[in-house]
Amino acid sequence: MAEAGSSPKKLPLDAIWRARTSKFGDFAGYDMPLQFEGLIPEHNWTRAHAGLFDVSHMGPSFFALPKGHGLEGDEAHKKVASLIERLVPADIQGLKPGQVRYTMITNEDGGVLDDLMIARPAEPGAAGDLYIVVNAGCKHQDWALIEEATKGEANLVRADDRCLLALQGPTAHAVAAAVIDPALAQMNFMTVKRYDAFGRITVTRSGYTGEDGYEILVRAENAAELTNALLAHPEVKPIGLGARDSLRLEAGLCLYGHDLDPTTSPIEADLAWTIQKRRREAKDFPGAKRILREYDLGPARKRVGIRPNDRAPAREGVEIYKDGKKIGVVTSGGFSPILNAPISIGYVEADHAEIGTGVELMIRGQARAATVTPLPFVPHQYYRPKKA
Amino acid sequence: MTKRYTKDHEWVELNGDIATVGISTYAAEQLGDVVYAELPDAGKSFKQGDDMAVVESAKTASDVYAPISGEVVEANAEIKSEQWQIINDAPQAGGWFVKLKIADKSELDSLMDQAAYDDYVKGLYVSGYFLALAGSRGPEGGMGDSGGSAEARGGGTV
Repeated sequence: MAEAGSSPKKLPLDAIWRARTSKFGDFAGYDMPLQFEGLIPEHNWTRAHAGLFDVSHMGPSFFALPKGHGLEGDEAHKKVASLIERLVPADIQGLKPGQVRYTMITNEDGGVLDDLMIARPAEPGAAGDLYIVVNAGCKHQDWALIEEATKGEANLVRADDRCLLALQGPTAHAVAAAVIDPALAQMNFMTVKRYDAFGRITVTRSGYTGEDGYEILVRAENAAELTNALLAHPEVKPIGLGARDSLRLEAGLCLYGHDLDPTTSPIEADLAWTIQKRRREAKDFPGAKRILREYDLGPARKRVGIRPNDRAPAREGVEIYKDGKKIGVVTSGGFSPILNAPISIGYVEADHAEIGTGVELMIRGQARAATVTPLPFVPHQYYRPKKA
Repeated sequence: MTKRYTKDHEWVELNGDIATVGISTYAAEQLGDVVYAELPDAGKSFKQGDDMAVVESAKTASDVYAPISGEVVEANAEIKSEQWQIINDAPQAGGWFVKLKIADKSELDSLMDQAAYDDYVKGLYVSGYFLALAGSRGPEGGMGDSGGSAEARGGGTV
């Protein structure tokens, strides 16, 4: 939750953004740039070139076995991974060095308390560490849960005093190679590596736009130098939180607090792929009973894409009907600049979740026709070279 | 003709007993590119302050209120035919929304003149730009309380 009552925190790179826009807004307790050139031009730039996002409000951290743990390699990793697996349903022990996995913190009822990324560092010297990034609005809750569940067995070190930059788009790889290190272009999607550049940076090939790209954790004292070097590249423009939201919506990705919440299960959210076989068989994660029941028998409701048949956007809270009966609700919605059409994500009763199903959206008291469609709305462009 | 403005950023310009109504240049700039608008049909009547129209950009939906009571005699055909760009191009001219036949022009007395409106806009906290448009449904719906999300997620790469 945002730190209530206090005025929003300034980002370490505040001056760089303020020189380029005055459109800021309080977001999860941080004063964030919302828009630069305009939401639609920024959105389209990111899909065609490379957009630079400051996401330093989020919650990066390192989770590590105590010093002197005496374990090495896989053994150290399995130990630290087993601790975090108390909170999440993904197979973290099974991560290879340098691999990143998307998962969720679940509650005993099988609902989602947050979605997050967990990475196993590539460097042998970091065996027994995990790099974990959680949502801005949930970070205090998440860190408290992790510490409570693993007290005395591992240490959580917050890294949200550093800067987290996302470089996203089809030319992100060329920019990263030119500005940071040519090796970045060779990283596979959903991998992590540290580089001795701009101080010492932790880079994941990942993002939240559906595009290829990187997320870069950099110390605050080196962040301006890196940011200015990236912004000086002709392929790069700064992008605000507004376009970050429209990009993730087109990519069909969940926004916590909207498309995911403590009542939604990962199965309902169409995230069954995040729960690997080993964990399904062990049934040892919070909420396993409901989640595995839904995994086997199907959930009562499902997250789907929805395309209104006309031009009116259907935003969060719009109710979804079928033959006059309420069957669901929109959890996020807006406008797709790429499709030049309104798009929504919502939950509907499983009987009506099939692609192509005609539904009605109740917008300002008027029923409007819409169609259940596949997610993502715009294909993902992640970098996954074919295995030899 | 002089315009008068509401604190919700509608403008109204009176010509005899016909009031032309639209949204201000400030409102159009804050909204960004309009992607949808819904205008009332001729013949509908509104009281001052009623919901009268809707204008949406990629980031938010905003209600447009009747700045003065009256009956719609004409809605902007260009906007009705989904040529929304005119709202961004000329919000205080060709991008007008509706013409209202009014009964009581004294209702205009409660609205701001140009100088007062300019001062009012200057005083708005720029960071609150999502909220600057009264009636905006956007801020929570648009981006939520978590601000983007986990670092590197992406579909199914496990």
